[in-house]
Amino acid sequence: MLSRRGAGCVNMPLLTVEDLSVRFPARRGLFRRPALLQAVTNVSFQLDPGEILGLVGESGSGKTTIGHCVLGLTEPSAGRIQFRSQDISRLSGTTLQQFRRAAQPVFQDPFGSLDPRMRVEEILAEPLAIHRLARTRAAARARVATLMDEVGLVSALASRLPHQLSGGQRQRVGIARALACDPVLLIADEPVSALDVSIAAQVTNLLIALQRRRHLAMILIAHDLATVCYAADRVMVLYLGRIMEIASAKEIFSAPRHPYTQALMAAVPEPDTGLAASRILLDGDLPSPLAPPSGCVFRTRCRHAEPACAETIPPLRELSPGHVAACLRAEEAVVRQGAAGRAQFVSG
Amino acid sequence: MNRSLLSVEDFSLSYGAVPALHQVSIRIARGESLVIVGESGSGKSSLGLAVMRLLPRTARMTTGTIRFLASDGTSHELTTTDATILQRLRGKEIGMIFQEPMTSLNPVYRIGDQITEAIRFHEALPRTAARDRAVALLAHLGIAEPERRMAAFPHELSGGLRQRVVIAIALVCNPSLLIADEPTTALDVTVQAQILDLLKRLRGERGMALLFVTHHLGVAREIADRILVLYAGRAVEEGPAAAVIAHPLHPYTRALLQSVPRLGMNKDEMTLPAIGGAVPDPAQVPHGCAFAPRCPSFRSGLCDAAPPPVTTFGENRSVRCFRAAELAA
Repeated sequence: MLSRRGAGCVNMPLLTVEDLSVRFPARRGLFRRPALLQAVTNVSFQLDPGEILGLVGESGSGKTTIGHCVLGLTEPSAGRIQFRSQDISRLSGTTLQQFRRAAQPVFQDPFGSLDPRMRVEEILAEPLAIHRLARTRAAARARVATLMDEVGLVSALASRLPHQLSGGQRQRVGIARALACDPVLLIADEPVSALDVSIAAQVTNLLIALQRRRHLAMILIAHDLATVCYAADRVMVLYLGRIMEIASAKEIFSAPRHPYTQALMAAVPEPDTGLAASRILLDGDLPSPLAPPSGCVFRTRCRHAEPACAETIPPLRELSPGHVAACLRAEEAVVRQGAAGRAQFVSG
Repeated sequence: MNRSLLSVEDFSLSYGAVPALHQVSIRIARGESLVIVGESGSGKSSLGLAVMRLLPRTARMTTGTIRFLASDGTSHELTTTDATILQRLRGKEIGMIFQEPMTSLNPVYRIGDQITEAIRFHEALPRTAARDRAVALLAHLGIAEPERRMAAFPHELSGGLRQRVVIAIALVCNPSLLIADEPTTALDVTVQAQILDLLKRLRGERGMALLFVTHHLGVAREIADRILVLYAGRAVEEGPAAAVIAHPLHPYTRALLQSVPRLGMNKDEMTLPAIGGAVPDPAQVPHGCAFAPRCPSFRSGLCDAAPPPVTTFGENRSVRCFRAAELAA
């Protein structure tokens, strides 16, 4: 239900996340009892080989934490993450190293994630050495040249240091490093948001080209909704650590069913129109993750909230094939009409 | 006689030997909003800082003037005027808000003290009256429980609230010009929409002019009467916001607009037309048109020979491109 595959398909999902929850201890004051910050709550989804899943949501929605869990960098408080049917928390030794090779991160700030004292060729050769992927020096050099070519870096840059590169070139080095050990899954956390407008499109296109050429699966985390809807196959909307809605990239734009998704879309200022005329302004800020609202976590800012929303945590329900949302009122006309706002405005 | 509220003429600036702005001119009428759009290194932030004379010591002004018309009718040349006059104008007649609200607030002072400081500096107002005005302004900016917020420290507030406090400090003396440097870039989209809404409402209510700096074309469209596009320290295009977005005249503006994904676009249906190459190193800007090496309409022997002159279209549009007339047709 949480995957885009049809019922008759026998292909295994690449990644299965089940009931993932992450809690961080948060100390409030010196003598008070430590509280628990609920960063991610009961998140389940699947990712197919070669698929790009976009994660969107405001800061504090848990999207980065989910990415860290999938990479094995943060330990879940509850739930399971299976990579090719293997629980990643049980991996060790060779199998762990195989997983690390298969799932690679791409970071937001290419400057902060590249060693300033290493040359481009050294940065790209390091993962080859760690995973023993090149037998000889000549083989490593040839592999580095291929990688640079694949991400659109001219070979003359091989001997440069990171500070001698432009922002776009640095991000290409970061992507090439992630590709060095032939991964099948990239976790890209805000890969273009630190880049200039004219460079962001180049890097977005590069990521899509790599997905197609290498059949790479990707978790694409970004706050820019237009970029995510453009590059992703499916989009997952998060709010306060919970899944609000999952749908295909086209449907999440043309027929968003959760009031939060609708509000998020309406808040995007577009060059052609500015903000949507029919926009829904969300009042206030995110509630504290230390004391999330009862029932639906979005109800305190939802214009369709009713008393029932405070009592029941809305389950994720399938509204149409591949389209799920966690809203008690998703079928009601008043909520469905909200979906039309931006889409009609843009096409009309 | 030029009666613009702010007029920057032929302004050039370098940091050490590295040029940042090259003969840029802007004019802002009373109550008008001008948005400066540019990428990193375009000089857009330097322009806002130059008006406030907040540039670092390494900055050197090489040509030009910045004139500001004060509310008493006197005109001031901000680049040379006396520091005491400048102090009277800054925070009183010209307000400024910055990108990162956390770093522009003092972490060890309460919100209330930081807002009333500006009032008490510029106006001989008793403490309680200043306090009342600050509370009223916070309420007007949509801050719930303003009395209680006055006693809060910056770290106790969310990003959106902090940016509202920064706006309150900038507005508390009713400036006629507000300079805003990427004020929504660090905020979530939903909070960004609230702040843009707020700035638009305040402009309408107070007849305040706005010099708004952003790299985001959607934000620019939302807030601008006019848009000025900067590239590598040069003004390449200027005009009414809707016209510039709908019919860009400079190849750079056109390419930039096309390279931004819009909601509803999908990779299965189209490929984003990205601009090739990168913004030039400010120390090595090409001799002719600065955009020439990346320009899809580049013509050898023309665009790389000399800097392009300004071409005007109608009363209120100008563009710096040799082929503008030909490409507009």
